[in-house]
Amino acid sequence: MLHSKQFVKKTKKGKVLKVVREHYLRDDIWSGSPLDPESDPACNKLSVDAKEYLVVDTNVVLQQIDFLEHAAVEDVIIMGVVLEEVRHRNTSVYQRLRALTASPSRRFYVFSNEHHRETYITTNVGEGPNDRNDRAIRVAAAWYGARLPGVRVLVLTNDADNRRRALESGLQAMTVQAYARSRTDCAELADLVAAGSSGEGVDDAGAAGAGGGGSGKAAKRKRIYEDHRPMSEVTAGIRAGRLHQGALRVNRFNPYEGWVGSESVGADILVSGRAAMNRALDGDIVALELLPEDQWRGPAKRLPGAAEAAEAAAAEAMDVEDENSLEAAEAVGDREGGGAHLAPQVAPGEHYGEDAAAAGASERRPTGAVVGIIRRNWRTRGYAGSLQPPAEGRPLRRGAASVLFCPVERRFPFIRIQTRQAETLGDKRIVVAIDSWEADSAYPAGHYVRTLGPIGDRETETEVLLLENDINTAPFSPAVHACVPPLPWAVTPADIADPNREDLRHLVVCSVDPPGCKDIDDALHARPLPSGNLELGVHIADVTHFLLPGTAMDAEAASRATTTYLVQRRIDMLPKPLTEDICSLRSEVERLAFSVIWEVTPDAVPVAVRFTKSVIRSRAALTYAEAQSRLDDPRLHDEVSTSLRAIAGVARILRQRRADAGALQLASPEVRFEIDTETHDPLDVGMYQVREANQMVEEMMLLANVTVAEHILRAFPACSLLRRHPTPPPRQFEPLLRAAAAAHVSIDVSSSKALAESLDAAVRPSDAYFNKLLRILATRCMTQAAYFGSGDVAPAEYHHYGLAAPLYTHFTSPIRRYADVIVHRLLAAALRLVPLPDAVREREELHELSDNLNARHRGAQMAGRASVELHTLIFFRARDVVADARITKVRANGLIVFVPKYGIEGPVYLTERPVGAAPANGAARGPAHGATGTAGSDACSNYILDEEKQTVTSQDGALRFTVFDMAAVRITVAEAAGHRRQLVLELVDRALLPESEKAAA
Amino acid sequence: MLHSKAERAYLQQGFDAGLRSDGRGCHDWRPVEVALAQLPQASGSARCCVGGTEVLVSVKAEVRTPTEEAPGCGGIQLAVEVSPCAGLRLQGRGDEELGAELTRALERCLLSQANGAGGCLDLSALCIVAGKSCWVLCVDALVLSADGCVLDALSIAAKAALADTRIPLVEVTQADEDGDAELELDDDPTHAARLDTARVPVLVTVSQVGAALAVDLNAEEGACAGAALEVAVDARGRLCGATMRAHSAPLHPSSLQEMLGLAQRLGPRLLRELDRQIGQSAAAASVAMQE
Amino acid sequence: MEFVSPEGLRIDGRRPQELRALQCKFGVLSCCDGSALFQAGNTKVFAAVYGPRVADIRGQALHDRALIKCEYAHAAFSTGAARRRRGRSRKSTELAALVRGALEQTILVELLPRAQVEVCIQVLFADGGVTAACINAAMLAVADAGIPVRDMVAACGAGHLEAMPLLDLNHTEAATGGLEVCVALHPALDRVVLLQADAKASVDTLEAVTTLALQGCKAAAGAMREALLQHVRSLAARRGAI
Repeated sequence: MLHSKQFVKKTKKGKVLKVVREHYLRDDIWSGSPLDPESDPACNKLSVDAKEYLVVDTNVVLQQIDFLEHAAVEDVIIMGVVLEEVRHRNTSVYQRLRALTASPSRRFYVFSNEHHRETYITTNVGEGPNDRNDRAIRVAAAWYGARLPGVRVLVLTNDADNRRRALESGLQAMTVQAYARSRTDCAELADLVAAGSSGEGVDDAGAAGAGGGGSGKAAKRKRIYEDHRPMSEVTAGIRAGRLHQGALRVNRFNPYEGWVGSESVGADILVSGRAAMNRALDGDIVALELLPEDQWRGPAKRLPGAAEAAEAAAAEAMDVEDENSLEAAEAVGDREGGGAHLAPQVAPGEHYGEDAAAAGASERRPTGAVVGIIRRNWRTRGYAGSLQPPAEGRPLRRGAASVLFCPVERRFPFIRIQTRQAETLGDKRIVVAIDSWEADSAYPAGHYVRTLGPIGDRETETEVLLLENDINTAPFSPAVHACVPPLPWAVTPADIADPNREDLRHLVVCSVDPPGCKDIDDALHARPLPSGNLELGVHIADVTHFLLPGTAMDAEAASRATTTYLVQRRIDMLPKPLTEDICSLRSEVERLAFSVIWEVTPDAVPVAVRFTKSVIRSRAALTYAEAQSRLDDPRLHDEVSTSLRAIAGVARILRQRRADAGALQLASPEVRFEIDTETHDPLDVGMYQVREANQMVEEMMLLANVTVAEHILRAFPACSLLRRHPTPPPRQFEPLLRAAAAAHVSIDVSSSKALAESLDAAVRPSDAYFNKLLRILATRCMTQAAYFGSGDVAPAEYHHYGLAAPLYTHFTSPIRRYADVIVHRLLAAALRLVPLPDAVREREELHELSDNLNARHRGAQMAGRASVELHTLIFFRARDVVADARITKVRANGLIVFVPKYGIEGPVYLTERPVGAAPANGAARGPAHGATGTAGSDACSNYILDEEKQTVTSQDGALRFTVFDMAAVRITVAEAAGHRRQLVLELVDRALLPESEKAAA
Repeated sequence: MLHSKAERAYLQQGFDAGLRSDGRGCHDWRPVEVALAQLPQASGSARCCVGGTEVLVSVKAEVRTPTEEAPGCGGIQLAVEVSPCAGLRLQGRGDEELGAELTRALERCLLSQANGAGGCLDLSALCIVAGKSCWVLCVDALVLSADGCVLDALSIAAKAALADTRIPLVEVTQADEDGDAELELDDDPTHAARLDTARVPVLVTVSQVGAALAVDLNAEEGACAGAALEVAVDARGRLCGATMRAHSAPLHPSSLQEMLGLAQRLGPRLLRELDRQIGQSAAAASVAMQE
Repeated sequence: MEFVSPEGLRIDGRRPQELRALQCKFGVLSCCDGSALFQAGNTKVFAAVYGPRVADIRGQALHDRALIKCEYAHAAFSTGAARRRRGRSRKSTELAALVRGALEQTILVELLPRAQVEVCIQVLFADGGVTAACINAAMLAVADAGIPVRDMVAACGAGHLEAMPLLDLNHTEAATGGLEVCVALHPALDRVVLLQADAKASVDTLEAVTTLALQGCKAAAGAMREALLQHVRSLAARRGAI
C-alpha cells in the first residue's frame, strides 16, 4: 500500500522546497510478542510473562535514557516514530537507544508503527507535528492493547496532555516518576529518573520535589544567571559580528574560568567568573559577547587557588535561598589549589592555565561573557564524582533528598541531584548525568546513574579514570568473539601454500619488548648477504589476515581505535585470543606476519626494499634488558645475538642520520612502578630506563613506518592514512624561551634542526640534569601529532616535525592500534593482494576515521597517565618522602616544581600559610576559608615576581627562587573536596634530603 | 501538414457551411478537461486536455530577492517546453523555437507590463519582506501532445494551476535593521496561502477559415486556417490583450472587430466551464485528502 | 543518514530487495502511433512512438533494417529541487543513446528495412531510477505501437548502501553517490542488454548489486507483461474480439 508524504522544508541556503517522498505501508510488521500468534517468532523480543509492556514517548527517551538503560526496565516497545524523533534531536541518545534495542539481553522491541498499515496516521488539519506524533504513539499503543488482550500496555509520558488523552482513549498511562516509584522491587530506579525541567510532571513531583524546593517555588526564586538569548538573535548576532562563536575550554582547575578560541576575534577570548560563564560547560559551543575594553582582564598570574576560590565562594553564596549554600561555599574554599600531578609530556595549552601566561600574562586579554549556548556538550555517559557530605549536625533526610554532587574533574561545576540513597552513597564514587541548568539555579540539575564503588579503592578510581576518558571497557560482544578463530590456532598448510605468502621460517627472527609484554606485534631480523650488504627485516603481526573489513570485530576495533594501557591493566582493542596468542609473534611458534625487508649497504643506506605477507618463526622473545645484555656481551656468538648486533649497528647509523636531519631528542618523564604481586599496590616508583636496545627497536620501527608511508602514498596519493606532527607556532615556545633566557642559555626554535642543536649545546657542566630538564620543557612546547587522510592536507604539511621526517605513518602495532590496521590494508591493496578498503575510499569517511583515531588515542594516553597518577597517589599514601626537585616555573605566590624521580610536578605555595595551599585537614578548613581573601593578597605583597629573570624574591630579599633551581620537597597525600586525593608538595631544606633521593637521573 | 488541396477545400467548404469534420459548430470547443494537482512535487499544477491536445502546467513557489524596481512585489517566471512526445518536431518545427513563441504569448496573457500595469495577479501579495525576500512563482508548462489549440489549452491549465497553488506560510523573524530577515516555515503543511485568480484571463484563439470565424482548430483544421488572433479575455468578458499569431496570414482590418467580439463572447463561457471543473477537482482532492 | 533500519526497513518503508510500486498505462497520448506511461514510485515517464514509417531523411535510411531514433527530455519541474537547466545536456544525450541501444537490440529491426521508428521520452518526475524507467516506458510504448520485438526488455536499478545491496534506489538513496547500477534484461532470452555502473566499487560488490538488479528486471518484466496482457485483453474486448 502506497502513501505519498509531502512536506515543505527549508534548505541551508534559505530556499524553500517542497519534498515528496513515498511512504509504503505494510502488513508484515509484527508485534514482537510471543503472545501474538501471528508475530514472527524470529523477531519476538518481548517476554511472555511480563507484568506490562511499556510504551514510551520521545521526551521520555530523550530525558530518561539512564532510566531506560537500567536492567530493571524491560519489555519496552519503542515506536518507529519515537526512534525517528530521537534520531533528529539527539544523536548520542539515539545511539544509546539503538544499543538497547540491539542488545540480545534486553527486551526492547522496535515497532515500526509508521509503516504499519493499521497504525499509520495522517496529520489532521491544524494538528502540529508533536501532537500528531503523540497521537501516533497512542494509536500504536491501542493497537497493541487490541492485539494482545492478555497483557497490560502502559504508556509512559511526562506530558500531562498526552497522558490525559491516553486515559481518555482507554489506555493506561503514567509519568516515569510514578512508574519508578511503583516499582517497589527496585528502589534505585527512582533515582535514575532525570530531574523534570520546566515544570513537566509537576503534578506527580510532590514528594520528590520536597527536598530541593520543587517547581512551585520557581516563581519566587531569584534569577542567578542572565537568560540565554534566543537562537535567532544569536545567529543574527554572529552573522553581524556582534557575537562570537566558539568551543569553550574550561580551566582544568576552575569551572568558572575558560577560553573560547574565536576566528572572528583572531585570539582566544577569556571568560572569567560565574556570571560570565553563564552556565556553559567545557566543550559547549557558545556565543560570546565581548566586554568593553576597559573591563578586559588578564588571567590570574598567581597559582590557581586563593583568588578564584574567594570569587567562587562569593558566587556560591549567591545561591541564598539554598539551604546548602553555606556548606557549599565552605566546600569551595578547599576546591582551590592544584595538588601535584604527573608531569605533563606534551601539554597542549593550559597546564595550570599557562597558555595565557605564555602569551604574556601581564596583558589584558579580550574578555567576554556567554550570552547563548549553541550546542551543549553535556556528556551522555555522565560525570564521575561523589556526593558532598552534609553539613555537620544536620542529619540526612529520609526519602528523597536534594544533594550536591562534586565531579572528580574540577573543570565541571557541582551538580544538584535528587536521591533516596544519600546515606549509602556518601562514601561511593558515583556517576551523574546533567539534565538541565535553569537560570535560577546555581548548579545544573542532574540525576544519579550508577555507583562505581568505594572512594579511594584502586579498582573504583580506575573505573573513574576510564569513564572520564571515555574508554570502552565493555566485554566484547558474542558477535565479535564469533570473528575470532578457535584456539588452539596454528599456521595451516594452506597459509604456507598461499602464493602471496612467503615462507620466512628459516630466518632468525626475534622480538624485543618490555617485560611481561604479551601482545608482541613486531619482530626483527638481520643477516649478511653475499654481496657484503645486509638484509634487514621488520615483521609485523598480520592482524588484517584475521580482522576483515565489514565484520563486527572490525567495527568494534575501529570504534575502540587503540588498546589502552593502564598500570597493571590493559583494555584491548581486539579480543584476547588474537591479542595474546594468534597474532602475537611469540617465540618458537609459527605466526603470520607482514614483513618489510630492506637490503642496506654496510653504512646503512637502503638500496632495495620489498613488502610481503609471510610466515615466520621467532627464535626468541626478549625483554629490553635481555636484548641489551646480548648486545653488550661480545662473547655471545649465537645467531640471535649476532643478528641483534647487526641491527643495532645499522640503528646507530640511522639514528645519527636522523639526528643530523634535525630530529628532536626529547625527554619525557615517564615513570614505572614495581607492583606488589599480592596487594597490587606499588612498591617502588622510578623513571623509565631507556637502553640502547629500546632505541634500536624504535629506530627499526621508524624505518618501517617511513618506508610504508612512502609506499602507500605513492600507490594512493589521495586516500592514504598518515601521521603528521605540525611545526609548533612560535608563541608556543615562549615558556621554554623565557626559562632558557633566565638561565642564560640560548635556544633557537627557528627549525627543528636548530632546536635540536641548541638543545644539544645547552649543558651546564655542574648540573647533569639541566639538559634533560630543558628537553622536558621543550617537549611541552610541541603540538600533538595526528592521523590524517592524505587527501585532507596539503602535501607540504605531511611533515613530522619531531622525527624530522617528510612522511610518517603507523604500521608496526596493528594489534593495539587501529591506524596500523588501516595502513596494513592500504599496503596490501598497494601490493594488489586485496581491494582498497571501503573505509578509505571516501575522503569524508577517512576524515571521520582519523578524527576518531586521534580522539581515542588522546583518551587512551590521558587514561594511561591518570592511572600512573593514581598509583603514584597510592604509593605516597603510606609514605613520607622528601625528594629532590627542580623549579620549572615561578609565579607571584608560588613555584611549580618537578620531582624527577617520581615524574611528578606541582605547585608549592610561598604564602604565610604553613602548608602552602594545602587543605590538609578538616580542622583547618574553617579558618583557612576565612583567610583566603587576605591570604591571596598577602601572597602578592610578600613576594615579588620578576618575569624577565623568572625569579620570585621575598620582600625582605631573604628568599629567592629562580627557574631551574634545585630544591627539596616533602611529598604527602591530602584529601581535598569531593574526596579528591592529591599530592601536596612542600618546600623543605635541602639538608633534609636523604642521600637515597639525591641526584636523580 | 500532409493535406492535399482537395482535403483543404473540403474542410473549408465545411466551415463555410458551419460544419466541421468532427461534427462541431464553428464556435464550439472540443471537450475541455481540466484536472488539478497532477504533480506532487509542485506547489500547484494542472493538466488540461482539449481533444487530442494535452498540456501540463506546474507552479513552484521559490523564495528570492525582489527586483530593485519592485521591492514590494513578488514575481512570476514563465516557461513553456514542448515535449518531444508531442511530435511537432517531426512537422519540421523546432521544439525550442515553438516553446519560446508559446512562452511569449502566455507571458503577454499573464504578466504585467514592465511598469506593473495590467497584471492579473496581485504580486504585492507575494512579498515577504519588502526589498529582502519575496515569493517567485515559477510557472513551467509542458506540451505533451499537440493537436491544435495548444495556446488556449496552456492558458487554461495555467489558470487552473495558479488556482491550485498553495504557498507555504512563513514567519519572519527580523534579526535587526540591517541583518537579513530570517524565515521560519510554519511546520503545519495544511497551512498555506492561496492566490486570487479571479482576474486571470484565458486566451481564445480566433481563426479565419475561408470566410468563417472559428475557435479550437485541431491540427488538420489549423493547416487550412488563414489569419489567427490570440485574444486574452477575463471572466467578465473584458479584453485583456490581443495579438496576431506568429506565422498568421494577413488580416483585413474590418474583420478584427468581429474576431475580438467573438472572443469576448466565448471567453466567459469557457471560463465558467473552467471554474466548474476547478471546483469539482478541488472538492475531489479535499475528499481524497480526508480519506 | 540511516538507509536501512535495523528493523530491515528503508526510509520509505520498503525492504532492501523490494521494487517500488510499478504502474503501466497504455495509449496515454493521442497524436502518436503508440504511447505509454511508466511509473516506479514517484518516478514518472511518458514515452511516445512514431512509426514505423518512411525515414524522414532518405540518406539516413538503412537498407537492411529499421532506423531507431530516440529523443529524451525532462520537464523543468521533474525534480523536487530547484529547476533544472534546460536544453539538451550531455547526460540527456547519453540517456537517449542508452534507450536507443536497448531498443535496437529488442525491436526486430530486420523486419522493417528502410523504415524509421522514433521513440520520444518525457520525464515528468525524476525520483531515482530514471534510466530504467525510460527503457521500460519506451518498451511499453513500442508494444503499444504494435512493433515486433524479440523479447520484452525490462530494466531495473540497484545500489550499494551501508554495505548492503538495495534494489531500485529512489532519489534520496541514490543521492549518496554510492554505487548504483542499471541493468536491462531480455527475460525470456536471458540476455543482459545494458549494464551501467557509475562510482567505483570492488568486483564483489558490483556482482552482488548486479545480481540483485537482474532479479529486479525479472520482477519488473513480470509486472509489465501482466499490464500489457490486460491492456490487450481490454482492447480486444472493446473491439469485440472476445
